[in-house]
Amino acid sequence: MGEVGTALKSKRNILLIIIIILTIAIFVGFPNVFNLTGLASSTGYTNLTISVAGANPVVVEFISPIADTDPVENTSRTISFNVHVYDPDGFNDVNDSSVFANFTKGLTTRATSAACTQVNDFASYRVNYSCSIQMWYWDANGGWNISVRASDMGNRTLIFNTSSWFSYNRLKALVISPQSLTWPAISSGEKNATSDNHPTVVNNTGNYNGTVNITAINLIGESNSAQSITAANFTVGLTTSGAEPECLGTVLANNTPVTIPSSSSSPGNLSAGSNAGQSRYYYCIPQVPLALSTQTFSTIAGGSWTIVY
Amino acid sequence: MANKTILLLEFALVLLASMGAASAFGVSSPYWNDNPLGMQPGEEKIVSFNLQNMVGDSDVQVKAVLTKGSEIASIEKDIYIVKLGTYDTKVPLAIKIPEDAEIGKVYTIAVEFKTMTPGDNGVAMGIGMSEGFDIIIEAPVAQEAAETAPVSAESYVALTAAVIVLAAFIIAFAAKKKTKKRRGAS
Repeated sequence: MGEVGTALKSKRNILLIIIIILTIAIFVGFPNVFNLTGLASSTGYTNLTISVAGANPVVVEFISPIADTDPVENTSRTISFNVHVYDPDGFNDVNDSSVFANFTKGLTTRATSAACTQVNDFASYRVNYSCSIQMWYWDANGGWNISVRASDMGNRTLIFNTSSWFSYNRLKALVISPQSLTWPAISSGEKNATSDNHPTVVNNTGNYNGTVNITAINLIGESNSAQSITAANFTVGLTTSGAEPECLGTVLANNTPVTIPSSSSSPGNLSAGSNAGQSRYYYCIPQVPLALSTQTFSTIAGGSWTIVY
Repeated sequence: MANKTILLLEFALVLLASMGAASAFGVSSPYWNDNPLGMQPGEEKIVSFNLQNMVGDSDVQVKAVLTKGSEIASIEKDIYIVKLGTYDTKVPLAIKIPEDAEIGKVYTIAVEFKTMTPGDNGVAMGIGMSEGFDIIIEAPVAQEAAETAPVSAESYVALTAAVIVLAAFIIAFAAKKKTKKRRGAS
């Protein structure tokens, strides 16, 4: 009886081990070992449907890291990266024309203009693609999500990988024109003398959204340097008209950055021509100082004014 | 009246002499106010600003001045020539955090960049950029556990094969033991 019991126990153990192994193998590996990708079905007729390849969806399993990227002033920059798409049914099953990528930040999306380019295949199941996306100078700084999608010839389900990010750096960049301001003939004590070549047009050629400061410098007399027209004699406004509103604008200060209220030169596509990314500054001397001798006053001795962003 | 006339003539000359074209300049930075840099006590790092001159019509001379954070940071030189059509003139900022820096302490870095514009007749205009970011002192991070690599389908196949081989051994071993027992019993 004891021997029979031991034998039965032994048999039971072996059976249990086999069941466990088969269970693991079936759930984990057999489909891949034998490439069993579908089930046969039959009706009363002999219509048999067997999907041998292509039934499994792809996996977008790798997106190469993108380094922190600087925008380039007033132009675009192409960012390239690699993507590996895995298909358990073999690389021939991956639909090359289905592999696209895009970058997203908030409501803005930048996408590949065409499908990513196939570079090479890896070890029967993977395809390496190269994707390129154009980013613009006005695109916002910060983290951008990278999304890659792909599908295969059989399953056709679009599979997404949105797990990667990259940082688009901040670029402060301006173009100002003209490079110097001038006034027509003015005389001591004259009121509301406005520049005759303003405005200073400031184009934002980067992606920073901030307020403009102006650091003015006293204008020194070129013949008699003891005389000057101080920076505080100048005002700046964002508009002009017959009423000369710039003469009631922000008063400047010598060698001190003065914030020009509402001067945000928000980033935008300058080529769009809708004043996006552009601001204008108008200058006035509300009252020319009294008792100035006849001479030229300029920034030659004191140094230039600066538009600070 | 005479005074005014003379002023008129001179300002007219200024007008002719100082009509200028556009001036352009840019600075990019990997860190900014909302994107601080985390560092640890004793850590050293070089952060580079990038000067750009893609839009102007001539090379630009830029002066860089570190206005905040000189206790932990330095710039190796203060004048940079940014060639026309370039966007990669680096301004390396060397940062060294003291060994005894308090965790959670925030250092502020500020660098002023300014085009060196000649005074010129009239009112010459230059461009300045004010860059800055915070450095937050963080506790040293313990060695992170090695990341578990995602298991691919090929790994599953290898695992399955290993399981089958192992099972074969176990079965063979069990069968052998059983046979021995039977022989022993008989």
